[in-house]
This record gives sequence, structure tokens and C-alpha cells, in this order.
Amino acid sequence: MIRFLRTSIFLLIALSVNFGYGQSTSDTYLDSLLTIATRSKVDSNSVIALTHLQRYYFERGLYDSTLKYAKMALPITEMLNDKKRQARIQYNLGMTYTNLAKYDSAKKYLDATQAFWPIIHDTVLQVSSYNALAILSNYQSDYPQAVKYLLESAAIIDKSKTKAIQQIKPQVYSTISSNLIAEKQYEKGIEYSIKALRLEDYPGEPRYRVILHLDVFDAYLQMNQVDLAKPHLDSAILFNQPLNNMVISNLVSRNEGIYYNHVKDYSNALASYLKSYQLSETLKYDNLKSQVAGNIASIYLILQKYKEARRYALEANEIGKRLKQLEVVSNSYASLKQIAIADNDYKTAVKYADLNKIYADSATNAATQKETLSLESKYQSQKKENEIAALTIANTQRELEVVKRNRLLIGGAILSGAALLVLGLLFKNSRQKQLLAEREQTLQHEQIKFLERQQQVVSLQSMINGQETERIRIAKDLHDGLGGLFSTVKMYFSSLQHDMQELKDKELFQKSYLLVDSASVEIRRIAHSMMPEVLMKLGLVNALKDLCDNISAGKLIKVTLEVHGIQNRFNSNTEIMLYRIIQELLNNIMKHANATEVIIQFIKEAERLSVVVEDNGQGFNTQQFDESKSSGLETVKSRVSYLNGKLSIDSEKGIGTTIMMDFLINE
Amino acid sequence: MNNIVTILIIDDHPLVADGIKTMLKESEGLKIVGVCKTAKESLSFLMKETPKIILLDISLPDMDGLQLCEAIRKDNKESKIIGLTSTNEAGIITGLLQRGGNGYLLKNMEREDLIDAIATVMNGKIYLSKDANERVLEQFHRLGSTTTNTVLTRREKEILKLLSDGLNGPEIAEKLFLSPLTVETHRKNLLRKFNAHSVQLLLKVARESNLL
Repeated sequence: MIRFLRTSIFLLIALSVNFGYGQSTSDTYLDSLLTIATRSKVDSNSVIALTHLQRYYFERGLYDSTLKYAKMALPITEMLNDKKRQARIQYNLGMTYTNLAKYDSAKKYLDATQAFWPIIHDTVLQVSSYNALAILSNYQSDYPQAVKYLLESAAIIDKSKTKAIQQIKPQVYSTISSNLIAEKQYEKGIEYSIKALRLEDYPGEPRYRVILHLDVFDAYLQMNQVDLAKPHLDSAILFNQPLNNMVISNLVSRNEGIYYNHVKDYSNALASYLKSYQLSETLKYDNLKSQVAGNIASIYLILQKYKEARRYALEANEIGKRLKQLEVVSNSYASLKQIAIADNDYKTAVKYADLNKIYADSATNAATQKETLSLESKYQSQKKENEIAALTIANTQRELEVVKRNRLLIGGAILSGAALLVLGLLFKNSRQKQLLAEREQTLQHEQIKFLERQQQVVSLQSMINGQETERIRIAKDLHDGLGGLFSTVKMYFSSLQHDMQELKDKELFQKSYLLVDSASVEIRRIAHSMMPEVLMKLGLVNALKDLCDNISAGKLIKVTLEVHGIQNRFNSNTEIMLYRIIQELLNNIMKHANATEVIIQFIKEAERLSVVVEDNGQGFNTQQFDESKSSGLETVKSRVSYLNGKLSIDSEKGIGTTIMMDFLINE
Repeated sequence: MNNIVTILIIDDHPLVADGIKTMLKESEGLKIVGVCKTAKESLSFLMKETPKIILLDISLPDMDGLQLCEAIRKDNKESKIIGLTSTNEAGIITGLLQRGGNGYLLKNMEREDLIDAIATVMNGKIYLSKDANERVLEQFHRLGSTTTNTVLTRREKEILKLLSDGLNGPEIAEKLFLSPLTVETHRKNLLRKFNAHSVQLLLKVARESNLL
């Protein structure tokens, strides 16, 4: 029997990414949106209205209107320099084109969103965009690429603790699992799905619960374990019922068809497939439609209804070719071959058999499977080196291509005048390609830098962590061990002196007594500089108060501490790191700045922590300052990056220096 | 018998406990009734007995000494607690007093200090070792001088002034040669410092506090 490989069952991941748009959908609501959107005066309100409109139509599958309003909004966001909405609209355009199976346009818009991540902070959108790119790759059967994108988003998700992100966790896992299953890595796929289903209280969209069950069903079925698969199909049907969602129902029907097909209940299989086919048509989901058409063709073939079989096989073939669904095309040729044999048309049968083989060869790709596996393990071990290497190679190739193209262009320019016109056109085209290549190149450069930076941060983090752990240990040993010993010796001496009053006149005894005392004071001092006890026991703010007071007590410099919005303690690593940063900056100021006043300011609002250290010292040129003096600042910088923070220096000669640091602390 | 001052030593370091015992052995009217090495041990000891003095080491293996002080105070209001540490950080000292401690001794004390401390807290007063005393005074002194009004940084003062002149973020950034993001951070900080939701409110509050 011909087994129709189903590329994947997920379609609408993007649909369920809700950005919190208004839920109201009444006519008056639409009217008022239109009024705002079409006013002659364009401002951020028109953008908001247009965004709502395109979202409204997108959710109803009315893509023409979606495109219309999104494209109206895009230039306005550019004009208003509203990066956040610009990114969002480009993302929506990408999704719309994906659903319209216009992959080139989709890729263009989704790729464009990538440029925003260094500028804007919108983790949900970033994750969604990676997911959308993954879906796009999946639709084009490029599973390794899909997994690559998904791992990017999984990495972001694992790092983030915000609720919105946690809510999309299931769908990212689901998408990963779908792709792994498509790559025939069933166990791993099941693992991810089950992981998502087991997330506490199932935080995600109810739609995802259905999809996840379908994923598991699918994987078990592919492993030929019908007994394990069936319960998950039943769960999917159960959870689907209250949803009343055509897209999800479509998926469920298709999988029901697959199940009945598997247990050779062909009439039920046909009914389910036809239902899914109908829904795909209504929803204009050609991607699924082609696959279901292929399924239907195979069932009709088994039922020996060749006319119907041919009709659906040809349709699957046509859509499959258009959408570059290699498996669908290959399978459709297999069906067509069987039909031709039944018609006794052997010549056509041979032709189809050849075509079947060609497409099957390009579809099955052992190499890609391997790549996915290695990527998976890479993600687990958080190692990015290979990726960097691969990117560098790809990058070099691109550079070479650009050089080659440039050479060709120069060569061409020397040709005769008659050719010039033709060349001119060629040039334009080629120029665009070149621009595209260059853009890709810079994007990759950025990516490489990003990965390298991440790596640095990781190794730095472990180094600093080790250092601080060691300091805590030594300080504790000094306090409790050596400190205790010396204190006890002093206590004995004190008792001894009490018992034998004549010792008060013994110079040697008094000297020893004094030395023991200074030794214990010294130990206390060292232990304190290693790790202040107040920092461990009472937290950052109290420790900073002590630090400022101690420095101010010296009367040379007055340090003021301003703290706003910090009620709770941060985790101890963060506290130690922030303390060290302030310690180091104060050290620098005392050594080099000639300042008389310093303000240290901690302001926390929601997750944002702003730290400002400002002195009234001599200032320095931030562009060219003495490396030897700046070593302290380098340590500060690495500690700031340990906390994923940003640091900026604003210094004026003779007036003073302001160092600003921004952190995101979500605890 | 009521005149005898009973003492419990809580310290995980046996030598330190021994040192204290040695110092007190010839003092009349003082009696060490127990030595506990952990917080758990001390809490169960205190369920049965109520010593007049507790000498409490603030770094114990199973619980932070400050927390233990708080825990003891929950059921026991009579015993006088004297913190015993090798550190003299002001934060720790005030932390102990806030949690119901009656005194504070550095471990490298002399016999006279210990006797003095016990006598002082038995008289219902707070005892701080000489060194600790200075620290705490310093901190209180500074507390009085700094927390009354909000201090603005130089940049904040400049930006506040320009905001009151009616300039917006980008204009201020241009004027001060700063990045708009930096100005935005300063602006947000100002709002937070004055608990203001808008620039208008911020300017109003700033004028009222004579900062403009």
C-alpha cells in the first residue's frame, strides 16, 4: 500500500499568538476602526486601528483585507519610527503570506523582523517570529532549518520567565516535536510533546492541547504502535469538541482519516479525509489540501475507483509542485502510476514511475535527518561553536559570490554598446541580488557576533561564579575558623591576666596580647573585604549602606545612596555582582577621579533596574582613556554583561562622570 | 538563688565556648547552664529552660543567627540576648537589635567587656561593644542626614530643568549630547523618584520641593 507521508500537522501556530488585541468584533467596532484608520491625519492611532483591522481579518482567514490594511499601516509605522509596531506588522504580513502559500514574500517579511531584535524588546514577538520562520521552513520541507529556528526560540523561552512567554511554551515544544516527527525522530518528538502536555496546569492555548495529542498520535502511528497512538487521537477529538475551530477540526479529521486508513477501515477513512479536504478548501489551506488530496487518491485507488483517484492525485500533484512539497508530488506520481497500470497504459506508468523516483529521492534525505539530530544535541549542551563555524563558512562563500558577481559585472560593462541596454537590465537584477546577499551577510555577521558574545558571557559567568563561591568559602573559613581561634586565644589571655594580675606588668605578655588582638582585627578586615557578612545576611541595600558609610566616614569623599522601589532581595549571585560593580566603581573614583561627592542610585520599576553612579570628579575622555587605569572599568563591564545589562558612560572634563547601567531582573 | 545569672552559650565553635567558660569561671553570680552548637539544639533547650542571658553567635551552621534571634524572641521575652560575632558591620549590629537583641559583643573581647555586657543588659539597657557603638552611631548619624529628601544626580537636575523649559526627550538628548535612550532612562528614574506618573506631575512636585 502506498503510504502517504504527511509532512506535518501544524499549520496555525501563528494564529494562536495573541498580542492582546481587543476582543470586541461588533460592526460598530469595525466601523469606528475604519473611521480612525482612514482619517486624513495619520498618527499612531491610525496605526493601532489598522493593526486591529488586519488582525481581525487575519483571524477570519480573509487574507486580502489583511494584506490591504497591513500594507497601509507599514509605511506609517516607518514614518512614525514606531519600531515595535513595524516589526509586528511585518510579522503579520509574513504569516499572511505563509497562509497564502506565497513563501518568498513570507520569507521576505519574516526575515525583515530579524533586524529589530537588537533594537526592540519584545520577546513574545521574537519567539513568534522564529516560530513563523520555522513553520515556513517546514512547509518547504526544510526540516533542519525549521528545527534551527525553533531551537532559537526555545533558547529564548528557556531564559525568559514572563507569563506571556510561558504561555507559548507548549506551542514551541509542539512545533519542535512536529518537526522531529517529520524527521522520523519519533521518540524525541513524543518526548517534546509529552513535556508540553505535562507543563503545570497546561498554561497554553487549548488549541495546542489538541495539536500536541495529534503529534503524539502521529509519532506512535508512524512507529506502528496503534495501541499507544489511539488514546491520543481520542484525547484530541475530545479536546477539540468544545473549541469549534475549523482549522483544528481540519487537523483532527485528517488524523482520523490516517488512523482509519491504518486500520484498513477505508470507508471511514474516506469520510474523514473528505471532511478535511472540504475544510482545507474553505480555509484556503493548500498546504494541507494537497496532502489530503493525496490521501484521498490512495483510498480511491484501494477502492478501485480510478476516475476519482486520478482527479485527486492530479490535484495533489499540481498543488504539491507549486508549493514544492516533494513528498506529496512523489506520492502523487506513485498513485498515478498505479492508476495507469490499472488502465493498462504501461507507457504512462513507466513515465510516472520515473518521476516518482526522482521526487522520492529528493524528498528522502538521510543527511538532513542527521543534521537535525546533531542540532538537537547541540541545543541540549548549549554549544554554539559549530554554528559559528558553519556561519563563517557560509559567509565566506557569500563574500566570494559577491566578488564573483562584481567581477562579472565589470567584465560585462566593457562589452559593446548594443549589449549595454541588456546589461543594464541584468545589472539591475543582479544588483538587487547583490544587495540581498550583502544584507544577508551583515545579518550573519550580527548572528556570529551574537553567538560569540553569548559564549563569552557563559564562560565569563562560570569564571565569576567560581571566583565568588571561593570568596564566600574563604571569608567563612576566616571568620569561623581562624577568627574564632584568635578570639579564643585572646579570651584565654584575658582570663589569664585576670587570674594573675602580675602579668599586667610583663611587657612580653602585653605585647603578645596586643598582637593577638591585631591579628584578629586583621582577619576580620580581610574576611570583610572578601565577602561582607551583611551582604549575605541582610542583602544588597544594607551592604551598600555600610559600604557608603564606611567610605564617607573617611571624610575625604561623601557617598550618598539613593534607593527606590527595591523591597525584596535579589538572588545572591545578582546581589554579589551588583555589590562588586559598585565596589569597583567606587574604587576607581577614589583612585582616579579626584571627586568629593558621589551619588549611587538604584531604581527598580517592574523588571527594570537602573543603576547610576555619578561623581563630581575631573572626568575623562570616554573615547581615549588610559588602558591601565581602565582595567577596573573592564572588570565592571564584564560583570555588567554577566547580568546581561547595558552600561553607558557619560563623562565631562572638569564636571564629572555619570555611569549608567540598566538591567532586567525578573525575580 | 534568684540572684544567679544563668547563661546559655550558642556557638558552633567549641573553642570559643571554652574561651567564654574560662573567662567566666571565677565570676560570682554567673552560671553557664548550657552550650548549644546549632540553632535546632538551642531552640529545644529553650523550650525547657529560660536562661537570663543568651550569648548568641550570629553565624551558625543550620540557621542564620539573626533569624534565630527572631525565632527565640517569639516565645521568649525574658532572656537577654547578646550577639556574639567576629564582624563589626553596622548592618549586622542594627539587624540584631531590630530582631530583639539586647547587646552586641565582638568575639575578640576582653573579660571585662563580657562582664560589663552582662551587667548592662541585666540592668535593662542595651550594650554595644565600643567598636560596634561607633559604627552604629555613624550609621544613625548618616541616616538622619540623607533620607529626609530625595537627592538628584547632576544629569537629573539638568534634565529636570530642560523638561520644565518644555523640551521633549529627543530635544534634550540633542542639547546634552546624550543618546535618546539615556535621556529616557533618566526621565523614567525621575518619575520613579518622585512617584509621579507624568512629567507634569513631576514638575509640580519638583517645584514644591524647591528643586526647580
